[in-house]
Formats: sequence, C-alpha cells, structure tokens
Amino acid sequence: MADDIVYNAKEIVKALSEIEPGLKRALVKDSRDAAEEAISAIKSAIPKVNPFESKVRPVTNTRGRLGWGVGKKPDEVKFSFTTKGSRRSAVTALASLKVNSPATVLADTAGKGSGTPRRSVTNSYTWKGQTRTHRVTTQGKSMIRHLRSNRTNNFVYPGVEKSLPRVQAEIKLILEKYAAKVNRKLN
Amino acid sequence: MSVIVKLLSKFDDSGIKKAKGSFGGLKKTIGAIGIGIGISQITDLLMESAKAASADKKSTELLNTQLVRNANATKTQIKQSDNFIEKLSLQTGVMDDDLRPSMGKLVRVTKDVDKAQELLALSLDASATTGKPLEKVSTAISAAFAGNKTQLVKLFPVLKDSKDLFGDLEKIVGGAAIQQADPFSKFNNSMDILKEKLGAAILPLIEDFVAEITKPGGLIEQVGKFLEDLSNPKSEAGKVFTDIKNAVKDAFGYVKDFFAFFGNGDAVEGFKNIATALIQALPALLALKGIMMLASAGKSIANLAKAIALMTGANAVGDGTIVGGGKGKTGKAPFMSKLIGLPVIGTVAMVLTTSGDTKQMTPEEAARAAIIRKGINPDTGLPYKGAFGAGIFASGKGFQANTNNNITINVQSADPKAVVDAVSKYAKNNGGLPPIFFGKKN
Repeated sequence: MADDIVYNAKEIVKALSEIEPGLKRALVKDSRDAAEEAISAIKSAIPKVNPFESKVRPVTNTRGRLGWGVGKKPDEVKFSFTTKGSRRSAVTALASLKVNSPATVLADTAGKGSGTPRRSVTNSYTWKGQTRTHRVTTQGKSMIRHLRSNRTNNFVYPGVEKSLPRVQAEIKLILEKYAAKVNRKLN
Repeated sequence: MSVIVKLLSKFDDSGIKKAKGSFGGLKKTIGAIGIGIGISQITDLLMESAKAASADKKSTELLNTQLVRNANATKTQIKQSDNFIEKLSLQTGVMDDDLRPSMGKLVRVTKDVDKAQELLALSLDASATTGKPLEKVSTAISAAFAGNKTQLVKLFPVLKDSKDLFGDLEKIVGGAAIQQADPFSKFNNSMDILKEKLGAAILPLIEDFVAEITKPGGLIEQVGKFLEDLSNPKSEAGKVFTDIKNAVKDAFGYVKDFFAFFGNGDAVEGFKNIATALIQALPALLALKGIMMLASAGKSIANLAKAIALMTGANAVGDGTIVGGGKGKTGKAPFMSKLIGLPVIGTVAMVLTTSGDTKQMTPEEAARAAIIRKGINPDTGLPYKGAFGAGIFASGKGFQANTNNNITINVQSADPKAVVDAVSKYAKNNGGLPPIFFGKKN
C-alpha cells in the first residue's frame, strides 16, 4: 500500500516548462489519461441515487450544501497534479484524485470514525452580532446505520483499489519518461 | 472537504524548512530579548548588541558621509534621515542595513535628501510588488532618475510610454511595502533596532574596556604572561595544568573499568557485549517505531497507549506467532493505566504472525497460548468476552473479513512498516479499525 515517492518532482516540472512551453501541460494530460481507469472506477462506485433518502426520512435536501447533487455533481472526480509543497508535511500528493461533492464525501466517510464525538459542543462563532455554539447531537448515528445497511458508505477506496497499482505504475512511468527528456536536454 | 486518493507522492521539505525558519527566527529573537534566559545568555546578548551597534554605526556613518558630500546635508537633515530609515525599517520589515545602501545610491543621483527619501519609499513599494531585491529596484529607479529608464521599464513594462514615470509608478505600487510587510520580519527588525540601541549604550563602555586591556601592562599582556607560565611545569600555573591532565587520565581509567565490568575484566570485550545487547534490542525499538507510525496516522494519544498496551500485554504463541491482548489478572493494563491514567475497557485481540523466529517459548507458554487461541482465558477458564472469534486474516495481499475484532497480519520478518501498511490498508478497506481499538465494547 505504500505509495511511491518522487524526490525531485518540482525540479522536473520546472525544467520541463523551461525546456519547452507546453511540456508540463503534456505531462499532466498524459498522467490524467493514465488515471482514467481509476476515475471511472470511482465514478461507478458512487451511488447513482441519493443514498441518504430512506422510507423513514423521504424528504430530500435540495438546497443545502450537503444535498445530493446540490452545487456539485455527486460523481465528479477531479484529477489533480500539483508540485506545491506543504508547511506541515514533507511528503505530499503529486498526483491524486479528488471527489469534491460534499454529499458524496459525507456518505463515503460516514462511520469511519470512532463513533464517539470528541466534544459535546462545537467551536463558537459570531453570527449577527452574537456568539453561537451548537450541541453535538447523535442524530448522525441513524444516518450511519442507514448508509451501512444499504452498503452506501465507504465506496471510494474499495472501488478504486483494484485499479490503483496499475494506474500508479503508469503515472510513474510517464514521469520517468519526462524526467528522461529533461536529463537529455540538460546533459 | 473532499475525498483524496493519492496516486503518486512527492518529497519536498522546503515548506517545512520555511515554517521552521519562521519559528527559528522567533525563537532567536525571543532569546535575544532575554525572555527566560540566564546570565551567560545575557552576556552574549550584550556582546551581540554591541556588535550590532558597531556594524550599525559604521553603516550609518557611511550613509551620512554620502548625504553630506552629495546633498550638503545639515546635522538636522542627517538626524532626520536616520529617523526616517529607522521608521521605514519598522514599517516595512526591511532591515536598515539594506535600506542605507539604497538610500546612498539614490542620494548620489538626486543630490537631495528629501527626494532620495521619497524614491526610497517608492523603491520599497516596487520591490514588494515585483518581488525583486530592493538593491536591484533602487538601481533601476536611480538610473531612471538620471534619464535611463530601460531597467525600470523592464520591471514595469506598462511604464514604457509614461510621461510621469514616478507618478505613474506610485499609482501602480504605492503603499505595497507596508501592506505586504511580513509581521515576523517587522518583529525581528524591531528587536534588532532595540538591540542596536542597547548596544549603542554599552559600546562606549566596551571601547573604554578595550583601551584599558590593550594598554602596556594591561590584561592582554597579563594573559600572555599567564600562557607562558602554563607551558612551564615548574611555575604555579604549569603545576595546575599538569594536575588537570592527570585528572583526565584518571577519568579515562574509570570509563575503561566500567566497560571491563561487562567483559570479565576486558574493556574491549565489555564494550562489544554492550553493543551486541543494544543491537539485539533493535527489533523491539523498530516495533515501537511502527506503533508510533500507527499513532501518527491520525489517531489520538489514547489509541497510541492502546497500541502499546497490546504489545506489552502480549503472550508469545507457537513458532514465531505473537498474540497480544487481554486485560491481565487485575482486569487492567498497568502500563496503559500508567500512561493515560485510565483502565483499558474491554478485551482487545490483535494477532501478528511473523515468519521469522520472533520468540522461543517454553512448553507451558505454548500450551497457554493454545488455550488463548481457542478464545479461553487460561487464568479463569472462561471465554474472552467478544474477543477471539473467527478473525480477519490477511496474507500479504488481501484480507478476508469475518468479524470486526481480530486482525491477523502475515508479514515477513515483522517489518514494522509492513505491519503499518497492512493495518492502514485494512482501515481503508473496512472504513476504519474495529471499534475495540477505540476502547469500545462491541
């Protein structure tokens, strides 16, 4: 499960842009094409219908941020290729897939925690000149129960797991190919 | 919030170094202003302040000479210029040592103190906007003032057809330096200026001191004589030096005896024995590192304590099999209780199977372990509550999940990294670790 770590990605990508404008774009495009298999796998693993709906709670959230399909498509998977560093960790993702729909993320991560809230009250924030906090309720437990019983939680990683090694190897090969180009030009 | 699936990772510690640099700078500054420091640090601070004041004095005198020679500046103007530089440094976080050369450059071109100050402020804004060094920008501005605007236009192409070069530049960059001033740099600068002021106060004392020690018969001469005495074993100082030498020799003898104790009188053999023992303890240390990696994977310190409790409560079973878990006779895990001050809730089972020779067992231990494997507490003869059932078995590549309590991991030679990888893979596959890992009964 250990990810491969590239040690000079930033330098390679920088050198690519300097050698020939557009090479960096080509690298990202090639990597994205290689990741297509994993993207499709995640898309097909995401539930096609609103997993939060149930007979007990047939009302659909059509406006809120966490509504299924509100704002973002539930099965939108974005490919990200970034060489930016982090101030917290030395090892960060170079190429990754992101599922950004809040509702999809909520369904996927539901039940992954310990099940015990860390605090009984949320952080305070100012609202209309007042300070507000909220009590942490247990209503999420029934949601988790519902998602578990319908097997509509924890679908992203199990969905993509099979195709991951192949995609990772392909992207690594692509990066090596472009690194070889840089080396040829520099030497 | 988003779900992220990593495809390829990269190593880049520049961000961390930058973050450390900021904190390092703060620490240095706090150290310099004497928060929670001892006498020796205060002495260091005074000497450092004196040095800073000396450098600052040199740099100020250099600029003041420029002001007098090029702009016929009066004493009042010179004083006002010093205040201006100090104020600008505090506002923008740029060091006064960087500001003065640029000011000197501008005053040589403009021949006017006020105009030079105006252009220096403009240079700082332009430097903050473009990210170019102040020296480069002030050179471009001074060249533009002299009629050569090529360098400035390179920095700001929009000024190519400008009729009022500095007026237009002011419109583009005005106020940027103060706006973008880094709070850390401002703070550090303030402290530097304070240090310089402190140094300026003690600099005359140090100058007097230097004059005193360098005069004929002064400290320097006396120290020289002392060193001469030191090299002569017949003198008093030379005798003390010989005593020190003997004391060091004795100390070495004690160290030799210490190692000889572990090697039946042979110090080299003793050292070898200690080193061997340390090497043998290495796998345990590596296993501990594995636990630390597990804990750092986003789990709380309580979970770390549980992980350690699993390992410390372990009974070895069979050939190279370690079974960890159980409350122990008292119903509490003493180590864990000590660590987090809480009793262990429930019984936790974790099975780590290794293919190497992890531990040899006595027949009694093996029999006891066999009973444990059947899910029975050998001390009470009763089954463990919700602990050992059909487990989740992993054999290198995958897992077969039957229950949420046990994780069996087959890894070669108990490589801690492989254990961590296997557990994290299990967690990703199953949406987390079994609830028992969080101190919960099923």
